[in-house]
Amino acid sequence: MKSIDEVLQLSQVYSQKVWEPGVVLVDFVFSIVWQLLAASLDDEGLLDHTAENKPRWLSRSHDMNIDGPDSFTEKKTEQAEGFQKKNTAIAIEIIAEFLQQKMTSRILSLVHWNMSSHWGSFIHQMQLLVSNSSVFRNLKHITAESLLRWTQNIHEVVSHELKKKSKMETNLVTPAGSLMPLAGQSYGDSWSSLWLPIDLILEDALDGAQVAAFSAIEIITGMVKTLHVVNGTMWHNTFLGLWVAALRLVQRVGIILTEKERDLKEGPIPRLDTCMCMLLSITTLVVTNIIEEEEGQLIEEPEHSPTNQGKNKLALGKCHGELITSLQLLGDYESLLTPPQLVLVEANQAAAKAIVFLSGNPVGSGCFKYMSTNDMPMKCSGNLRHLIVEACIAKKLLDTSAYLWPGYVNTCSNQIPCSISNHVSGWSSLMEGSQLTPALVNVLVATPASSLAEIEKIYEIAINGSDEEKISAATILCGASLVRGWNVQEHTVLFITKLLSPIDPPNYSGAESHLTSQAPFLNVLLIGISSMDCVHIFSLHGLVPLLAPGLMLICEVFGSCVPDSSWTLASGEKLTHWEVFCNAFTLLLRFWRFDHLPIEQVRSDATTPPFGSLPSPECLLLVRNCKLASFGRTEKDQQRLKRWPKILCFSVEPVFMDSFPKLNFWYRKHQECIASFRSGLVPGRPVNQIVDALLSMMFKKVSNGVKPSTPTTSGSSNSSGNALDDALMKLKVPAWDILEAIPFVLDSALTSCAYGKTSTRELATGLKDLADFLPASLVTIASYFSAEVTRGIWKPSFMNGTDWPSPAANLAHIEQQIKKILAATGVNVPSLDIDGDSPATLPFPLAAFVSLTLTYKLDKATEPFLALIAPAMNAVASGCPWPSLPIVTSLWIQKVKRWSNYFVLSASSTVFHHNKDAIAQLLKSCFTSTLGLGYGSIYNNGGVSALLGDGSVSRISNGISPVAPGILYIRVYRSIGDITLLIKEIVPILMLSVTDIASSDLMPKGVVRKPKKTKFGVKYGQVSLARSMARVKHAALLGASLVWISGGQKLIQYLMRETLPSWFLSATMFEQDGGESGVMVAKLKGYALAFFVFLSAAFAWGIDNSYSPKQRAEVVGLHLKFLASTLNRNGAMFSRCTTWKAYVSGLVSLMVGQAPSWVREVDADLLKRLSWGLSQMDEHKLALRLLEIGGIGVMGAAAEMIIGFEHRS
Amino acid sequence: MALPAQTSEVDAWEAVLRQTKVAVDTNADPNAWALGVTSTLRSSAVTLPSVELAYRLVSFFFWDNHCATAWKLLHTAMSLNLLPSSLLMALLSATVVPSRQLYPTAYRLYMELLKQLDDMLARDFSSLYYEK
Repeated sequence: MKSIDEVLQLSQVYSQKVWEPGVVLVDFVFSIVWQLLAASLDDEGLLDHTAENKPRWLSRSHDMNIDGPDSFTEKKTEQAEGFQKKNTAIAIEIIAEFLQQKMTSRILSLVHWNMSSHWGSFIHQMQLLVSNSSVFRNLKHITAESLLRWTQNIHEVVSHELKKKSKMETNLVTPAGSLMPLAGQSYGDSWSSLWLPIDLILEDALDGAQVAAFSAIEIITGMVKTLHVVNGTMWHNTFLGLWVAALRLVQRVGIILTEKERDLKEGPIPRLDTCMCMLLSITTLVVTNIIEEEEGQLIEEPEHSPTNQGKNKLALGKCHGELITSLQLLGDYESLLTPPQLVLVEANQAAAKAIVFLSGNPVGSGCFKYMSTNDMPMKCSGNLRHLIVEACIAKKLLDTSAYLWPGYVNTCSNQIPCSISNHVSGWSSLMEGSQLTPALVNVLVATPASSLAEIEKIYEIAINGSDEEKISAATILCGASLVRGWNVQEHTVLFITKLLSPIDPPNYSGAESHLTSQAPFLNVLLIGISSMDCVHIFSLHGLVPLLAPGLMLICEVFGSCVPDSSWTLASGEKLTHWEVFCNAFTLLLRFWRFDHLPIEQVRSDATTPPFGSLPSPECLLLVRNCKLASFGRTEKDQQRLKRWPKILCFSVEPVFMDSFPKLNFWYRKHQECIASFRSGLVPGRPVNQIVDALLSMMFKKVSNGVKPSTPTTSGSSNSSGNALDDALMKLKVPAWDILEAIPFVLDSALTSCAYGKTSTRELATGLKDLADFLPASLVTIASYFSAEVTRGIWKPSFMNGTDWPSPAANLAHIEQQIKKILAATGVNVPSLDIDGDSPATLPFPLAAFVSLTLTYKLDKATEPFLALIAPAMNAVASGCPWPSLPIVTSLWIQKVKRWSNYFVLSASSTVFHHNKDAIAQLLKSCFTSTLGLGYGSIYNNGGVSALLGDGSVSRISNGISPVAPGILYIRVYRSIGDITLLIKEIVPILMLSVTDIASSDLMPKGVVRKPKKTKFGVKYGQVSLARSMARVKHAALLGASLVWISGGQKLIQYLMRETLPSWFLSATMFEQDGGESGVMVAKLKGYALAFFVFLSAAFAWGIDNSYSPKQRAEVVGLHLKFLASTLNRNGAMFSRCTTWKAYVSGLVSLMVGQAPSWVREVDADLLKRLSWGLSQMDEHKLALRLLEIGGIGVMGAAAEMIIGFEHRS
Repeated sequence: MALPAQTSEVDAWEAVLRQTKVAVDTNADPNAWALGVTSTLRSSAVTLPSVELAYRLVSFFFWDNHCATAWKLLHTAMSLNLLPSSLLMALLSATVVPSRQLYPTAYRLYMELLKQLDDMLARDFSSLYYEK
């Protein structure tokens, strides 16, 4: 082959860097074909001599023509011309033959895969030929369409064959999903099971225990795109799966609430407002991302390959059309579209808006007209689809032609209902120039804006208005537009984030005067976004890292001010520096796990759930800096910027902790407090005075010798009647200094109580006074108590009702309820029983901590503080010996009965902290319910409803509902002490599920006699096998989803690096199942495992356009290295293991068929070794396909295999 | 020792060219010509398929003796695996196609050979020539 290379100078022409016979082979075949094409064009004067990658061997043609003899007669010339045309025709026919021939077309496909620039030029010339060649037009057997199709099908043929064979090989039959039309609800669960990962991740995103740092939009977009590829569905089915999952989420949460329960929260968890944000804001933005990304790719392509322009024009808007299809199909899901009671008004308004539009009346005049003529307008019944359509229209995904869809508008009335008039008059008044009167402000707070222009106007007032106007604007922004203005929520959260970042870095010096003058305005914003739902909405939009530096600056400035003055608010209350500081500080510290050391997060076995919190404020700033530094570089960001308001811009300057010296100092001390014993007070330092003053305040009744009286529990910091409070104020002490003193205060208080100088009741009261004095101290209190529990130097506290509150009234009942909940979900924990005679005890610091929390009233004002410390308290109690958390739960339930479900469910999670069996049982229950396995199960049909419940289960009379296993898992997985247990348990459970699937599908019940071998093919019919494969896929989807949600990328790395190799190399793998049915089960196991691993990696790193392609290449490469080395070294040992062979071929098939970019990232030598190993397994076709898409490094090997393969067959 | 071997090979190629010229002039049976060439080359220890044979035949036929009979001989040589078929195609593509307007008949015959590219590649892949 080297001589061929020399003759045609192939290496030089194609810039090949490494010489290989196979590469020369590919270049040679391509050159032969390309030369024929160029010659044909040249003969008709069509060759573009300026084209890039022009073959050099045609140049001699010009020279020869010049030197041609002149002796030709006219007659000879005519004959020669005819003959030349004939030659051109034959050349074209040969080109067509090569494009269709099996071997040559596969070799040419290697050019397409690996030499795209040259292939692009070839395509370009082919189009020239088809468009302009007169000889071509006279051909009878070849049409332009067919020739172009053969050319473009070079890669499509191979890709199609790959996907087809991949599915055939891994599924053995056509996948069940594509066989099931959307005939109605009867197929709902089977079809919806394809999208089960979306259901799970949406539910996980709602877990209020964590404030995630990364955008839910990005995470869900990645998962949806992965499932789109893996399920092999059209986009409209993918979109429909996404909408249905989000609707199910709303139904699970919203259906329970009624008007009577409107103000009753089930616990410190975000619920309906966050669900609606997920459905109408986040999900709509996910769809927007996908459509914009497709359009962005179409825009980019023409620059790279002009020959695709025609194709792009046809493809433009394909996703867009599919969205319309999905929303039209969504109308069939009537039960899912029923709006929860709390959003019924908004749904009706959305339906009414369509009616108003179709009636053709201007909104303003129509409103006045019909209000005056008809007092009883017809009621318009809207549903969630109306809200979804409005959300899509707001983002320009749809236009008002959607109102004309069949069934969208269900009434002919053109009357405007009353409910819409309030919104119209309020916001329209604003847009017409009305002043912000108190009455108008109240309307705008209660009614969300419906357009970007409206919310922009409020933002401008917040920036440029008078002080009073600014406060009004801030109030409006944090009102209904933030919580339930789903169409403008994306912009509202951005505006608020910007307003809370008033000064751009690095101009932080000199910020004090500006910020302090804005204190009332900032405080309105801080209070306005501090509720559980609001924080979660910011988190879902991925704005936590962006919000953090603004809060840090506010803390830095206000925490450094002495409270020498205060502001009088419009309501007559007084506002101090401390109050602004505390609001900002408590909000900021919900953004990371302040009660843990960051070092714990960097252990090798720590995991990173996609919706987990970051471990430290430095991480928040790093994420923020990385995001802004990279923002605007990609096409996707450009599209997003177009959607953002023009008047909004964020500084891209990096921010570091050094910009906030006081915060940084506090943070270091905070870490020291958790990690080590604290040094004692050094005499003479100013902090000593603060410690003494605080202790005096906390225990003033004792020190004064006055009889106990009712303590003032609210507004004490503003009281002017107490001399000691005045003393503290006269100290002119900044908040940071007080925070520095808190640990010493707490140490003294605990010591005093431990030695009996202070009663436990006085301790609790004192702590409450301290927290009321400076709410930010709760952070230090929580961290200090957590650390002291860990140190274990205090004697246990007897919760006997004398010194400490007694849980006795509820404890036994709580434990029974926990046991019932777990048992109903399939988890039996005998060890829950405790010795009834033992007194209930808690570690002393935990007892103090709980007593402090019990002193709080439950109202809107205290919600942010409880949201801050509740996770810390739960974490401490979970880490203590059983039954610490049930004791805490019992005490809290005595205080708030209606939160029983939340507390009992939280306590149930303690069981999983270190109980390996409980984890395994819960996982098994998830699989059993989802797959519809197990006799007598109430979820015989399986599916998403069985896994997550439907939320409409009626409450048991004692107030405890059965908990679906998926819901329980999402609540408890963060309590699993060693998350790698999940990975170790889930693989055997997945294998067991496959066995159960096979036994229930392939073996009809009641059949006792053994199957005859001669009828093997008939025994396992296509239908039952298709059903088994579909369920095996569902099992893999469930397993991959649970792993991804629980541990993120790190856990999946652990799976591929450690768990799988050790599992395969364990002795159990060499047990060969007996009989032919055993072989089938073993094969199904291998395919299930391949699905599971492939999906896990796809969820972690994406299939294309990955955020961390190097990491993916490393992990996938290591795993393939394990496969290749095992195949090559232990081929004989594993040759009889069906599961292993099915796993290897299944995994490689999935990668080749659905994630070719992964294959291209793998080292060439490794690919060759793996390909060789596959050949040893008689997987010749798969081995070839692996090399075909493996990149330029293995192109030669692929060519050799192609020839060898064709030669053998 | 060196001199006789070198002389022998040079003589062999001269003999091959003479045999080829005679075959062309007399329109001889291609198989007879092939047998003669094979015998000549083997007696001179030339390994078949021969890269050198491909070069010399293409040079002889194209630059000096252009006629239809030559293509029959080339076709037979390929069938009997006297030379690497794919190398022959490469040489022809570098000489015939650029001159296709002057020698359209040669271009036509080249394309007829091209239709058997599959078989050529498979045969060469299996031979010792592939790695060279």
